[in-house]
Amino acid sequence: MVAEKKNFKHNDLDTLRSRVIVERDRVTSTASTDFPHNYPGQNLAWDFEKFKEMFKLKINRLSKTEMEFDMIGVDAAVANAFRRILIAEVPTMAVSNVFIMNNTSIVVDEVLAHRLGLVPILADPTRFDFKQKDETPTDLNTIVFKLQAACRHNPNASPDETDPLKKYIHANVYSGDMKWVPQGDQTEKFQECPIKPVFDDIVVTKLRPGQEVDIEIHCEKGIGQDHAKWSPVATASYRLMPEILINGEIIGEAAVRFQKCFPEGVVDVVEENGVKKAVVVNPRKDTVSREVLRHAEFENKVKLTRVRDHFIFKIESVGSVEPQDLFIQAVVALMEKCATVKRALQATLQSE
Amino acid sequence: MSASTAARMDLDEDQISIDNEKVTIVEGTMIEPQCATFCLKDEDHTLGNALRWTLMKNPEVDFASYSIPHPSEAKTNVRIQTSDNTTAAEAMVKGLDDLSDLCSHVIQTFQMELAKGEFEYDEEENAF
Repeated sequence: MVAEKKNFKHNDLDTLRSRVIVERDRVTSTASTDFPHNYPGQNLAWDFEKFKEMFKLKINRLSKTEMEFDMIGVDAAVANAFRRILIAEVPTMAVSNVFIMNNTSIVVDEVLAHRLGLVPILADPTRFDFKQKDETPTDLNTIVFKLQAACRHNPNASPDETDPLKKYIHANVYSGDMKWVPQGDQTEKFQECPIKPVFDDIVVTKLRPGQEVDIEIHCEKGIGQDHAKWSPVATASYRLMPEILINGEIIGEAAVRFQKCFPEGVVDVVEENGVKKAVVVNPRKDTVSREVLRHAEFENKVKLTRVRDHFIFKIESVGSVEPQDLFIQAVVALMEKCATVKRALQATLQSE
Repeated sequence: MSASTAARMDLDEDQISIDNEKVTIVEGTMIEPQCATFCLKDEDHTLGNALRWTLMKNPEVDFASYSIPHPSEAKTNVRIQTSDNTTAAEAMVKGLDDLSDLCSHVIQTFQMELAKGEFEYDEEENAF
């Protein structure tokens, strides 16, 4: 999906409106200006029908934990709202209370509790309630895990063994050692997807013979705004679609030099009637390193811009919720915000 | 967990109690109905900036902006000045409705694209 091609002109109004301009030593035309009354002869007022026509969304790649899609036709303010909600306001389940009965490992209690807090939990947060401050834990708002491990010598290990993992039994305590203790009807409720840590191989602490840990862990529902452990994404980010405009033609050996200014696959050198010519084939791959702008021979021959309303959006889930569900939840969250503010506004206006 | 269960589009209106402090009109800012500063409790740049954009897309709005007066107070002020054809409150409602419409269309398009399945799908956990 390539946005409508622009002509090479210096700062004409249309370019200023729809592109961010990347210059050698600065980036200009960064702010959105597509508002009513700003451009003569153009009606830029909000029009839902027109938006439906212009808005495009295309999913490029999807996996259990990551996805990338193109979103075209919204402003950065909206794309940024989605990104911010993904990071800070989509809820997940995470460890919030750790009851340490015994911990004789080298990791002190508070550090151990913090480490446990950051272990992602595979549980559908939509099936739990938020636990209010004054509420007691119930099967509707809390997940309980037990973490019990004691280390001893491995009787089968050879006497000159040096690898602690072979020499001792339970030398490492992993997230996989956290055993879910279902409460109430949780066993039936989560029959098809038993609750467990997303990864079983996170080292929580290390033990030596005679040392042990005996811990009860309570997980609660929360949002990333309160603590990063509740953030459902490793990161959610977007970048604007790069665009490379060539003035006239770049031919001969210069075409090869031009190609070398960009990452592989961005520029192709084609032969037309025995003459080499540089053609931009895949600007998406460009890192916008601006290398080409350092060369005097390409001055006034090339212009780098980014398409202001073309977002290449990437969501990297932590693993507890699949990325496509996260995005939908984020957009729903923004709608809910609008609805609550609207309702509160109407109440305020009535009372005045 | 399917995408459709995650998107609970039907917001249960009865269950949500209205917080009277959520939206207030900052004292002395509404000299006439065409201008007002609304104070939104527990909102930040997420809604503030997106809302400012839909407000400015309204041709009857002469001025719209938002600010967070102090970073340690969870409050966002939204200032609106409109022409005589409407009021600040009406513009605010329209801004919220427009943003909500936009979101619903984004979800629809996203779910359609997901259903079409015209993309690379990788079963592996860390595919790229």
